[in-house]
This record gives sequence, C-alpha cells and structure tokens, in this order.
Amino acid sequence: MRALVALGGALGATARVAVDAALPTGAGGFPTATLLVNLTGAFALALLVRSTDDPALRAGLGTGLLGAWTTFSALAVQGSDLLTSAPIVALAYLVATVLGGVLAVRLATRLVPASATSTPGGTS
Amino acid sequence: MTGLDLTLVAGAGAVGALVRHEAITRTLPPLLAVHVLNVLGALLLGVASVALDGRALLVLGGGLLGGMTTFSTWFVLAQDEPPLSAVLAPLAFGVAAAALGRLLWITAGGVA
Repeated sequence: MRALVALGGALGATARVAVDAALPTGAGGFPTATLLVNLTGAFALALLVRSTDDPALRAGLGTGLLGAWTTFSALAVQGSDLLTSAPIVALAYLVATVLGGVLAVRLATRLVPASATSTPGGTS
Repeated sequence: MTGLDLTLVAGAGAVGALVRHEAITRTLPPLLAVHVLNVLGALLLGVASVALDGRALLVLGGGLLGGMTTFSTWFVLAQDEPPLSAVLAPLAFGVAAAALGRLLWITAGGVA
C-alpha cells in the first residue's frame, strides 16, 4: 500500500509542478494553475471514492496521485501574498477556490449515485 | 526545469504523500489530520518561500510540502461537515500560518 501511495505521490507532485511551470503566475496575478489542479483533483477524488472501495486504488490514485496533485500549502501562501499585494485578486481567488471545490465535489457526487460499494468520506 | 528537477520533485512528492498517508491512517481522525498537515505545510512553505529559491524551493516546496498537503482529500472529507469549521476556519488558519512563517523567518534574521 505504501509503495502505491509513494508512486502516486511522485506522479501527482511532478504533474502539478509541470502545470505550475506551464501556467506561470506573475506578481499579484491570479494563481490559475493551483486553482486548476485543486478543483480537478477534488472532482476526481469525489468520483473515485464513490466508484470504488478497493484499498489499493484508493491508496494509489486517491491518497497518492490526487492527494499530491492538489495542494494546500501553495493555496495558503498565494492567499497570504495576494492579501497584501492585490486584495481583490486574493478575495476572488479564495472565493473561487472554496465555491469551486464545493461545487466540484457536489457535481461528482451527483454523477455517481451512491452504490453498495461506496462509503462516502472514506478516502484513506 | 531540468530532468533532475523533475526527478527530485517526484521523490519529494512521494515522501510528502507517504507522510500524509501515515498521518491520516495512524494518528488523528482523518479530517483533523488533514487540517494539521495542511496548516503545518502552509507555515513551512511560508518560511521556504522567503528562505529558499530555485531548485531547493521547487523540490521542498512544490514536491515535499505540496505532496504532504492536500486540497482534494480535505474537500471530500469536509463535504458533510459544517463549512465554517471544516472549510473556512482551516483556510483562514492556513493563510495566517503562511504569513506567520514568512514573518518568523524575516524577524529571525533571514533574508527576505
């Protein structure tokens, strides 16, 4: 199980860093790359946990890949930076992140009806 | 970004994900463990963002701390919890922790 988490984590972090490099954010700019990885990751994880109870899939794809694809540390530092340098952008970014995350999870939950195999919330 | 950069990020991301996996499965209740790791990661990235640059920041910040913290698990676990305590408070703590990390490094005599 740990090997799958490590493999997924390696791939997820590398892919996120590549997206960051492809969509650079200038000083005071809107952090598009982080918003993109976080919302897609939340959506995909919500789909995954309602689609399978397989511990190996949840560990490798959920905790490993999608856990590392998304990030909180960058979100917090960007939010903190923008609050001092560009408060309107900071507000837009934080609101888009929270509302987008909630909507992404709800949308995924509607797309995959609760089944006998699903235990919502059990992501590890 | 070089191949070496990406290789180091991959290794650091694996370590970060493993730390998170162990914390979530072995320590606190999962959502609480995620909050603790996320806020801790925000504090450390606040320090790293002023203390490091170049490859060190990419690997330790983007790889290790990015892999240790998570948005997806947080939002999926918080889905049926009160938004104020499960989402807004942790976000506010994280933003404050990032600012605190930067401030700590600068007041400790580090170069901004």
